[in-house]
Amino acid sequence: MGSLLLPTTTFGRILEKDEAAFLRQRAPRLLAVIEEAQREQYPEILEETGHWVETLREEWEEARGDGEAWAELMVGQMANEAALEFLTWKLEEGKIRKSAMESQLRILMEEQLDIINGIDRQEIAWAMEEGEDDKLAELLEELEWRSKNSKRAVDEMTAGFLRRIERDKGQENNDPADGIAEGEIYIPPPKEVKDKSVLDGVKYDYGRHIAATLQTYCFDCHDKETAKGDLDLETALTERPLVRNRLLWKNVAERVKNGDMPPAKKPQPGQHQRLQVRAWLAEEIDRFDYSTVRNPGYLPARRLTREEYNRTIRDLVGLDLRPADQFPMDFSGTSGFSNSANTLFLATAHLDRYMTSAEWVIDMVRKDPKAWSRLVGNGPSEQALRRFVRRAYRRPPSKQELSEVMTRFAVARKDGHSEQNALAQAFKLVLISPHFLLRVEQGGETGKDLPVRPYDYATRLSYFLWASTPDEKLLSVAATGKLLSREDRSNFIDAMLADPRSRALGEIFAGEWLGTHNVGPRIRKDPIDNPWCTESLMAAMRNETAWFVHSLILENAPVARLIDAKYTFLNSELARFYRISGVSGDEMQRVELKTNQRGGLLGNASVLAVTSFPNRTSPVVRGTWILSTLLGTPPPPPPPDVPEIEVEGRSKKAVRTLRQKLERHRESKKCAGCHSQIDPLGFGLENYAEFGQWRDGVDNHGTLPNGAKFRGPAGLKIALKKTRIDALGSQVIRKMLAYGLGRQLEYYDESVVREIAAKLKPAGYPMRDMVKEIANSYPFTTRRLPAPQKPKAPVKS
Amino acid sequence: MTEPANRRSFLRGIGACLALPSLESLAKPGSGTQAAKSHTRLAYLYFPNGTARGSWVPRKVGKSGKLEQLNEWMAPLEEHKSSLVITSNLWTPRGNGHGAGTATWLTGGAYNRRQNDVGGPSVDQIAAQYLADKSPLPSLELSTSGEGSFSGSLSRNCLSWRKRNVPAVRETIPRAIFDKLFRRAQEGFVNTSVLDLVLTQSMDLKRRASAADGQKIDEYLDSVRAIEKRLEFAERQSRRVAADHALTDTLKRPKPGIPTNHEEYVRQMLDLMALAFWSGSTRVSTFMLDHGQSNRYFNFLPGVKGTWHALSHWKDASGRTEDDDGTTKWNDVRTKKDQYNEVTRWHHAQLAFFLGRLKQLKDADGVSVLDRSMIVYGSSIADGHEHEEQDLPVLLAGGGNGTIKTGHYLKPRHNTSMSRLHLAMMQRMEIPARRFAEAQDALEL
Repeated sequence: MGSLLLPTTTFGRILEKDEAAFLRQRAPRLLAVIEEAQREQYPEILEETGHWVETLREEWEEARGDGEAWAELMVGQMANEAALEFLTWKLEEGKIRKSAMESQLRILMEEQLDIINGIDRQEIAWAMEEGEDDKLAELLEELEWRSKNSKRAVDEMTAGFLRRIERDKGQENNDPADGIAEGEIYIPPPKEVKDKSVLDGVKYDYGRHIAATLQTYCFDCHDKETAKGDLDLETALTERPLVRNRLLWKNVAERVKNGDMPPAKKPQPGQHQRLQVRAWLAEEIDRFDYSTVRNPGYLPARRLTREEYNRTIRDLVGLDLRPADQFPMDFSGTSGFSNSANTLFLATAHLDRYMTSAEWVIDMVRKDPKAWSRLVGNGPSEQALRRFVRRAYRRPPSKQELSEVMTRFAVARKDGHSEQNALAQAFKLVLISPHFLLRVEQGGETGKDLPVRPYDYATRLSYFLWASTPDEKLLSVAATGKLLSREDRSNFIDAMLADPRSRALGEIFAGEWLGTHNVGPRIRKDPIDNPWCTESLMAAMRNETAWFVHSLILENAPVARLIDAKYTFLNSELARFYRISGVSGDEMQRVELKTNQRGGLLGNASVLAVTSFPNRTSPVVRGTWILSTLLGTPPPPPPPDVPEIEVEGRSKKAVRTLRQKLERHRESKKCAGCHSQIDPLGFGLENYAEFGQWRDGVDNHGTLPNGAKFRGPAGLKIALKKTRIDALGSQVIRKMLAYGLGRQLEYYDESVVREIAAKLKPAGYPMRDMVKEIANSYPFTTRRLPAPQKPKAPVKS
Repeated sequence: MTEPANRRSFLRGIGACLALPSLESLAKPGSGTQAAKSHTRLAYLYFPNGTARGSWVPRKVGKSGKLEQLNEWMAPLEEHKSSLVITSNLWTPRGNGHGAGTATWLTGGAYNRRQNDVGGPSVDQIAAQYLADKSPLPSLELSTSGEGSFSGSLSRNCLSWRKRNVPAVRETIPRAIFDKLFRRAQEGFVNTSVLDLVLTQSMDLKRRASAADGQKIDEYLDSVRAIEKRLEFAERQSRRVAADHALTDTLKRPKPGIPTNHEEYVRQMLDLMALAFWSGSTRVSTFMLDHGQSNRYFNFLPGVKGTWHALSHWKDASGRTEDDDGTTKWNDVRTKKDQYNEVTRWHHAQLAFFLGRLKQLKDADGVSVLDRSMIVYGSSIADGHEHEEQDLPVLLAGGGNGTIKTGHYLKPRHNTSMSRLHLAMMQRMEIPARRFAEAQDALEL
């Protein structure tokens, strides 16, 4: 607020008669504020008057639906808050002495206590009506306490308010907007090197200290029986090593650190006990030695996904028919990818479609003379069949397997079918065979690590890099066993990546990792109101991300380029959308960028759209996406019983801008721990509207918890590159490993992730090397059969 | 790609590509199959997002709980009230909400996301497996095609579970369902000998595979067997259809694809379900009228705006919560609640349509299919704003073949587990189950 004093006549508008009457009757507290501001000539306050009065009257009208007594409470509360704001302002501006301020504050707090009690009484009446017993008990308990201890309550409220003012004053110097000058985009964090963690000096003994602490302070709610909030620490403690539940324990450490657990109404552990628990968790989780839990895991049999089926058919018959688009949906598995084996169910509905598809695909090929002759070849029919079976089964068929297909052919011939017809019948049979539809690996021993067999390895590699079936070349190399040496493999991978089929890595791996494959099918603009949002534009948005990530793999670019690049892939429609000139044609093409508005994933419309609400941006969603999806360091879920920040709800807090709203998060200790990480990242992207359109004149600065300050996407990118590359590197490895293996990662896979990360870190985690490291990794090259599982108890008796 | 054009030469369907028939001509006694004669049918109809508190309570309940008048939001069901049991106080003690609640609505278990485990098979699948030999399709799982960002979520889309970690796949395309019910084996390449062959192949494969992979291969094996059985049935069915002109004239395949009119779509699905029950194709069916946390727009209802899930959070009318689409806002809480109720009422109207169909259709002995059916209809959430798990909106329609006293309001003790209702259903399907999930005794109906 400025401090320029203006002549009385130009102060905000004078209250209308009915407004004054309304205030006198319903909100004398606000009227007093306005009168004082007029008397003392505070133009800044008078400017706000109109807005205040309007808001109050709206609130009155709205709340009256629940009775006038209720509306009076609501309006009274708002007026009280306005008065508090006014008081704070006077103190900041030096218009009131601290002692005078404090006594006025007390009066306001007494008034507030009455209002709060009134609200509780009303809520109690409602809770009784609705039979909400838990809520009722809680409300009664609180009300009773406040009624008995009203002086203490007012004391605490007053002290709390003063503390908040102090803290805000402290933070103001940190205010990012003040700290970063116009034109500047990045200020590194202050050089404040903490050599030692506060935890290092803490000694603990699990049996002596930790067990007792958890028993006393946590098990009341988080034992097996109660498991409040679905958190059962008693059971989790038995699951050793604790890294099995890494995120759960990280979350516990965070809660203990922030002090929001145990909740305030429960007995509290001492500071030293908190430190002991944290030090113990740091030892068990952060410094866990993963080399002690080496395990390749198991790649179970799975069917082809829709995407894999489409590509496999394309590569088998040479026509891109996409029959699987009619198949039942593949739900996204627990690995985050559709190829996660444990969610690839196979039901009658699938076999129905496989049969229809087999018929249709082969008939389509027959209608295309070129494709048909490719399939049939020049040699005898037997040869064509042998070749097809080998490709379809991804290995040479056994004698028996071949004869099944041959018999089918012979029977059809005997029934009077032409040679071509009989061939077609046999091809169709192959396409519904379990050998084709299921990927089942051979061999292996329980509890013993053996190399994956060569043909199975070829299949693993092929579905990893191409999401499709191995070609003739790959099968012949598999036959020689050469794929199993590291150098040969490296050359082979280079060749496979150079093949256009490797674009599947961009389309499926990147699309499903980042969620951008949802743009179009699931995330779209209503086409009637937004005629610009065409199918082709949304396809270009998806492709931009897919081609970009693919290009990084081909070029062996360091992962930092995911954050920031000087080029991207556009076609004319997307370029127009980005207001970039000089791009023509529908084909995606590499475009060098002249400004830093685009380039890097964070400038991709696809990413920006999947991190927005349909019609507005959300710094929280975007910030969370950066932390969780991009960096793999998800913030813990919000603590239980956090009220939603109300924007225009009943107990209106007159929160006006988005930033103010979110700052309320950070004022609350419960929320601050995470939101101070989340929100600034999201604000850095505010220059992009909800579908990624560029916009100026927005609030786009932020401060990271480490003190680094940035402005806009350009500054955010620098901040991420300077501080989060290791997190990003590990995350890409983790995601690529889960995709490559086609299973969700288990706790022991972290050992491989760390190994690869250590190897790739010096070069900045180059992405083609990363592909090779994964293809060479222990779980990718090794097979160990799991111990047979005990059958679970049946549910019905 | 277009719909494979010549599937009919593969497995030929019946009739031209027209909309489904009106069923009146089928309703006369004697058209039903022998197999369907007197068996009880079980259906579960699920809708997401709950119902506003109070909207499930009848306006007037007479002596001993007789339903005398429903409330305005349930008005579409007024004409069927003598066939209904409206329940209160039911809940799912171990899973609730949009994801877990949907996935465990019929299993009575808790949901473990990482293991993708719902605690046990769902009640409909237990019934289906138990009765597998008694009808060509053990069960029929239907769902409308999803809309919005939760349409890819596994837990929100899976209601029926064949095993505790294997959901049943749901059909969303009317024509595909029709073909499943009424097409017959034809001169395409799939016939018994082909199926035998792939069956042999999969058994070979299973012998060579690891024990851990056995389950996946079993999934394939089971599917082949199911199709084999269906083809057999289809042969019989087609002979019957050929002999019955009422059927050949009226049973028409639905058009390909999904109707753009949502009401037409839902009614086609319900018609297919009614046909399946009537024809004896199956005795167990489930239909997800929508998936958990559906964000579908019901703008086609006068005065309704915003997505269904946003409407269900009716106590916040600001239009600016995390659930809102950013453009829609409401004048006040009451308006929003009314719109939420309108969407619920629309679903009730579809149920009423379905019950009407089942009433028209008669078994061979002249008893209506409705009297032989047990239709459980409801949601896994009570009031959508609170995500409540207690006092779920659930009702039961149909006479259960004379085993259910209908036309009353059922008020068991507070927090009665839905598992007890499931157990009651199982017993009426003549499944000798003594327990389901934690329930030891069946709910009295």
